[in-house]
Amino acid sequence: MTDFSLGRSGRESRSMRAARGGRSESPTRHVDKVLLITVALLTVSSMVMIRSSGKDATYITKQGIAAVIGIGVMSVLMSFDYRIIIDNAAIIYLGTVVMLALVLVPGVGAKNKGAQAWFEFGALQMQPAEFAKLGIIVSLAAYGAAQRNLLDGRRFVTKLIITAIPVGLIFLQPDLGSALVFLAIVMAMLWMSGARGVHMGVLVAAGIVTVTVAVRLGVLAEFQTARLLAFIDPSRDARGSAFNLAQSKIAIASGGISGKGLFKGTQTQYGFVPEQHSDFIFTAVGEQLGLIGAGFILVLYALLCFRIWRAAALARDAAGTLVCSGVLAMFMFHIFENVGMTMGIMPITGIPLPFLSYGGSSLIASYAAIGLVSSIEMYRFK
Amino acid sequence: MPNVSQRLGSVGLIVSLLFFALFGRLGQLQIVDKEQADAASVRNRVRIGFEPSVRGRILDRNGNVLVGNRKVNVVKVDTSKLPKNKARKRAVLFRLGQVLGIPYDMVTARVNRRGGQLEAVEVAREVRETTVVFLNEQAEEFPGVVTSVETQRVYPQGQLAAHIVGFTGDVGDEIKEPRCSTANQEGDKVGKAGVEREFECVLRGLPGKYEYTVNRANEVVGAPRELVPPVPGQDIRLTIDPEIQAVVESTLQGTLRLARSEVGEDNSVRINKKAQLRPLRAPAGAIVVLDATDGSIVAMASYPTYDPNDFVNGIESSEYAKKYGDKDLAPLTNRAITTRYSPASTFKVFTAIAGLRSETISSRTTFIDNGTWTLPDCTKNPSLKSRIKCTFRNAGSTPHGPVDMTLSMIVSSDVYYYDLSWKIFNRDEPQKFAIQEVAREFGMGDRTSVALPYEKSFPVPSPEAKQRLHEANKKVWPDPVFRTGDNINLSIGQGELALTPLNMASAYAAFANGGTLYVPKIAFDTPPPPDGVAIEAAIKAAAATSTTVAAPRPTETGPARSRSVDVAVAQGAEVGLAEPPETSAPEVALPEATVPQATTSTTLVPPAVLTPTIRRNIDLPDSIRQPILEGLKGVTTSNFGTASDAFAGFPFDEFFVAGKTGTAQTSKQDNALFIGFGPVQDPKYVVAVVLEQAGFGGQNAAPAARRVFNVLAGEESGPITLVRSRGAIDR
Repeated sequence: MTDFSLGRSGRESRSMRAARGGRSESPTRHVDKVLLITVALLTVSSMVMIRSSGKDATYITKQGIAAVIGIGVMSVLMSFDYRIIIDNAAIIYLGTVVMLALVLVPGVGAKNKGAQAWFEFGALQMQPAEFAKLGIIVSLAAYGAAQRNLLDGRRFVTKLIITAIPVGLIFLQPDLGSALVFLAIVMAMLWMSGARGVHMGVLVAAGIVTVTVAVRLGVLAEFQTARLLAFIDPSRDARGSAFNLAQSKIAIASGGISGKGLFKGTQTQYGFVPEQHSDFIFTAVGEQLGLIGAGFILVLYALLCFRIWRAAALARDAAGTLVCSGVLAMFMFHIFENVGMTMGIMPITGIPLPFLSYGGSSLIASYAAIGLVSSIEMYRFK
Repeated sequence: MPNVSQRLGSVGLIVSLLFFALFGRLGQLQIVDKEQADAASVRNRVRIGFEPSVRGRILDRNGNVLVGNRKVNVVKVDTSKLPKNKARKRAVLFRLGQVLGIPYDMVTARVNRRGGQLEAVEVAREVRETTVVFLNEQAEEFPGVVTSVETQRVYPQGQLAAHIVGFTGDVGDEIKEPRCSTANQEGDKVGKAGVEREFECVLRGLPGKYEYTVNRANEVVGAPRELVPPVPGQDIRLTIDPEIQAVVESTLQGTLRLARSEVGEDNSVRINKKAQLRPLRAPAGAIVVLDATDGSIVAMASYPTYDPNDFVNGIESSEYAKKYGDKDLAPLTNRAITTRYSPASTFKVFTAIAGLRSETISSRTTFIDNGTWTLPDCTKNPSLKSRIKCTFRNAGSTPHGPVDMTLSMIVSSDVYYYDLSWKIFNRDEPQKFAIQEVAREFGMGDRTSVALPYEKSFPVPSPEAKQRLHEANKKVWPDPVFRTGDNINLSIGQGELALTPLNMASAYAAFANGGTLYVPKIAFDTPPPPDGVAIEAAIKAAAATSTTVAAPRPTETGPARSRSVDVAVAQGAEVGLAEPPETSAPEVALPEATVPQATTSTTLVPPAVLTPTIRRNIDLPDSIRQPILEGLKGVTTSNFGTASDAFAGFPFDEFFVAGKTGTAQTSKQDNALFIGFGPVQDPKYVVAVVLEQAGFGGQNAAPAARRVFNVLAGEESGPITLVRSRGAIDR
């Protein structure tokens, strides 16, 4: 694998590559078809599963519109060189922070399920935190690409500050799950840009302190604290979070190998598992399609992660590798946390399963992430 | 300088590990935990519901309904569906109270009675149809309020035979110890007294069982699935003749009322050791009319009585205390089978049998009755003198002169029996205890085994019985030895001898019919109750072998059953019969169990078939029976007869009544007794009358019996005429 400790800006490397007389074929030749097919399969599965979790056609329509928009955004991002985005990272960062700040203003942002996290435009809702993840990935990649040597203390702290501002705003919503996604993203990207063991240790410690302080000071909404405590000690709460967790596990386990059949899952159809079209959609898969169906979905996710990892490896510059790593960390955290919580190996936090959960913002942001990764693959030789 | 490929490699490793963990956990859940989770998911959503079966009716001998069913509107509140907001909840309940005409406090009290339960709580019953229609039309205004139609007990003949039919009440603690093959559910009504209690399982039938699915909010989703169809309860046809029962009840009440204007000696009011005359209290009594040919109970009354309607919807404790709380009157007690009464002189029949059978005397043996009788050798034992009476008297010390067995019955000489029992007691065993032996043979000391709850029996006085009394309470019974005096008391039906009126009637019936002691029957032959366990097992077996799936059935329609369930039951029957080893007992007569459907809510009446149960055949030769019978005939017809005044003018030519009076000494006023039977040529009916604190048997009890015999003889019942004292006093 190429050692690209060049630390130059995108334009420089491109001109250099051109001078080298390297390959300069059409970018469409380098489109990752496997990645796109994987994403398409997940999107189709999502439509089926949302419908089978007892939601009516309007949910499918909404999700379909979001998918179309997402594919549109992805296509746009695939149509030009990702380096343009890297170059404009400062604007993106500023936009991200402004959005996250605005959503906290009562009257501008809307409150739902205890969190001030939505912009509402008529029937449409937008969750800026979903897009903020991409914004931070791009920002950290742009800053990291300018780095020449191994990560030093000053850069480490700077990166932490870059991340801390949006994370802090998200914390104020409050949205613990999304905040933790940022922790995963920043850890992966710091690691890829040469963080030392000590840095990683500090990050882990910071994460633990953050969660503890959040619980202790009551920053989190009551239900978020309850979920965490229920995970630690399920006997605390029989009817609330622990009950939901138990029901979720019952749903998946009772699916067995072949599942109860679409639209036939009793746990799913009679509402024993909460939020089955969104955060807990994996239980609908597990109960109704069994080990075969749920295993297939996990295989698709593994494939998705592998292709992004491959893109990170194929990238010809630091920015590309860093963006891909960030996107990989983001998806991996979402997948592991979400699927893990439905199976009782992770605490319950309200983060969606990419491409599968009902929710437009998440879907569009996920497509955008795939668009970025694709752009990196397509334009790597430019 | 980071080595990108190395670092990416470690990222890839972590990603792989995380996916490995997810796959592992998924496999663990879906393969290892599958079975457990299946069970849990079934527990989550499947609930078992019960559909009460229609309770069988209770009919009289002629097939008329004594206890029936009636449909009533019930309003319930499902607390889980009431508004969570307190003010809104209060508003709904307040409005409901207004509509039902019940104070708000009472509505909330009833709603909170079983708070937190899943099932709806009853708030009002017997609600008018218009109110129900209103509540249903305005359903949005009354969230959580549900109306339903339920059946409840109705008594077309009012209080008639109240003690026999009994009443039903809330299942209460019995839910833990079910009496029938299938368990009761919260809110069930079960028999608490009388036939309602004794025949609970037959009357109840089998509740239907169905399963239904609920969602997380515990709302019913989809259609329920019938598991076991309800088997309606069977009707019980009593042996009670309604006309005779009515006469018996009015006679009992009327005689007691009339007796209250008479006076009698009161042992609880003594001046210079002499009992004073006081107006008779005559608070209570019982009359039994028994068919001597088969043991069936034709009528049975106990006074004071009660109104079963009071218990239909449960009775408030204050009202209960007011109406039924008096422990002495105890209106709920069926005195005919539970209260201990000394039989007094009515027992002389059995002492006489003992005398003749042990050949201690002959029926022609004459004894000079000069009014008193002194125990020989009594004074020779000074240590006992203080405690033991030496001289025994006739009532009022009246001398009867020379009496033989027949005359001793007619005039009711006590002295004759004192002497007889002393002679018997001086003989060697086994003759020594001839009286006890005869008493036990005629069923005394044991329950009659009548099919009614709470029947009591009391031991026949004997050395063993006295020893037990002494051991149980040495203060009250300081003397453990059964002495001559005890035997003397026994001979005239006093002392520790105690019988229930039914027991007396049953013993006299055995004497009347020549020695057959029957188990008294209150109902005609009744099929055994359905075996719920066997029926359910058979249905399960049928479901396993057939592909018939019970079709869903709408909840609202109540007892209407789906066709396929009937098919399943029919198949269950076949399977159950064809493969007996698979199901439990071969006597699982499923077809029969499902047949009685016809007997409910239609006019079909169970057949009046009675299979008598003979408890014992007593050796009672004419040589013994005849002289006694002559005496009993004289009681009602002879000039000296203690009941001849009461039976003056009775049509003896068509219907000869023989009997015996009795006047039992108590710590208060005397109990009046009369037991008679007729027609003597071919004895059919026995009438036993016991009136508490009502004076002399001949004066007050015999007239009551006479009025009953009037009807049994086919005459008009006529007025009750008590006999005025004319000097002759009978104990």
